[in-house]
Amino acid sequence: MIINGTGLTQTTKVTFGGVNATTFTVNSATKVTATVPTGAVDGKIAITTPGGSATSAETFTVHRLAGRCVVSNGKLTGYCIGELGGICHEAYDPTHCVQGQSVPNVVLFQCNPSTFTIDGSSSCVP
Amino acid sequence: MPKGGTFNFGTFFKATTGGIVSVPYTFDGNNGNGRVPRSGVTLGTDGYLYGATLSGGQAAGTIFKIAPAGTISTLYSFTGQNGAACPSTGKPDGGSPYPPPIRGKDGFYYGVTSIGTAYRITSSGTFIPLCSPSVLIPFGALSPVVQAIDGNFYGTSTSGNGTVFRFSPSGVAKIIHSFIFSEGSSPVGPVVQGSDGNLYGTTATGGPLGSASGTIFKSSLSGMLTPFHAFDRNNKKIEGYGPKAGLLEATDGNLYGSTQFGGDPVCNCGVLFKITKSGVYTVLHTFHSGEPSQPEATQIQHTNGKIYGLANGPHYSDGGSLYSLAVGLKPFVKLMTLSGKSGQTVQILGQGFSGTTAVKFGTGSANFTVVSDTYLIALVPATGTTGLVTVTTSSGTLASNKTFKVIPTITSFSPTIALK
Repeated sequence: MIINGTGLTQTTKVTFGGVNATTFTVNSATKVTATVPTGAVDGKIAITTPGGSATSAETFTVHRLAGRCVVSNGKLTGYCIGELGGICHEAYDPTHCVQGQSVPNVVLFQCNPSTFTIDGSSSCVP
Repeated sequence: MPKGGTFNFGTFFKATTGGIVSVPYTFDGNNGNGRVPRSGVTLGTDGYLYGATLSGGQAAGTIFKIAPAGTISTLYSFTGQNGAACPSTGKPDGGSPYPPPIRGKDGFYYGVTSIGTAYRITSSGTFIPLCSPSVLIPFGALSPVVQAIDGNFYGTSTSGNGTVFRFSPSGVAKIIHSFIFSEGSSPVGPVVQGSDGNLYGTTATGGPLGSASGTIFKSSLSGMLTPFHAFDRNNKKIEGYGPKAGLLEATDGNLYGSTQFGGDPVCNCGVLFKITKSGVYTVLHTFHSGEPSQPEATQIQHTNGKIYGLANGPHYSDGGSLYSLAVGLKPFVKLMTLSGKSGQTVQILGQGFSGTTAVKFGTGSANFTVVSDTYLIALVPATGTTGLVTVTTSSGTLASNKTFKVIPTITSFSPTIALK
């Protein structure tokens, strides 16, 4: 997860929906890279420094995978979201699932093969 | 000055660091303007100075703003009438304010009046009485409040033996300490929040020795009072007694102040003192006959490092005097705001700015514009860090006397969705 902003040099804490990031690295005063914790929930991203704290305007969302997922060449290309009734969804168009279409701007941080199957010979991206 | 001038209603004066005084405005009480400004003025970020008058206006004093060149505008006239401003509580809008309002971190001005009210006012004069039923501002607040790092305003009042009180920006108030005589009585001066977080102040009388000579007190923000220093006019008159002025925390972290009386046994004209946070008290100057005398006003530290104060005298009826006290402290810069995000403007006061080559917020270099030799504006840089602001001039690097907090921002993040 890459977080862009200002005044980030002295970052002491990064949270996802109130849950602390597993680890984070200050790349520069305007960029912090953080690892999404397994317990992350939907919510704002917040950064704390000695000068105060910043909260993202947008919400970070966490979807639980269920059903069939497609991963090719180590890249997730389609998935199903359990919370939405087991219907196939695509990241930017929740009305349908387009297999074989790339899904940018999504992080797959926890794979549990027992809850979904992987098409083809590719393995789940950790 | 509360008295003097053509009408004896006081004046608004300007003084150079060398002591050349000019009077841009003389209080006349005309045109609905106030008279008798009992205390000093507060510098606003708009370049105006904000103050209060004890009387004049409609009835019970005013809040005014004045340009350095002397153009005054009355922002609000107190009616002093019960229920006029706070029908639900029957409280008056206030009246007979002694201190000027102070500028809150939110940009509003906050003050108290001597009849037990608190208010908020904007720079354009929108007056908001802090009317919450929980407002318990005691009577007899004679000095300006201070906004502590917790965001609350703290002040003193002289009713009874005196109190230390606080109120929030929304007006929720509480007396955090009521003095008993042995702790001190009549806290006329304001409290100051030290860099250690504690409040420090003075009482003009009272104290543990029964000599009614006044004390210096230390209090936590919750009102836990610690005995700090007791004056003793019977046995230690030469160390001064009866401090009416509040304390100044200077750039060395020590507290500086004055006593109205004591010192020279004949003159009884007061002393200037220093007290460390561990309570070590030192007389720095004793006023003798022919010098300023019996100071009652809280000192300030100029950005040139010296301490300045007002006093009576040389003879009590001869108007006032302005003194400076060099204590070996270096020049510094003063920040008009103490926190901000990247891109926000920060006004910086100091001297020798004409040849400025760099302004830094912590370790981050800032863009800046030199407005005059004593004033520059800088933009908080994205690379700014919480710490001191430094200004590098042709004669050296000046550091701010207070920490500036760089508030972080998040502009974007990616990815925005996680799957598990």
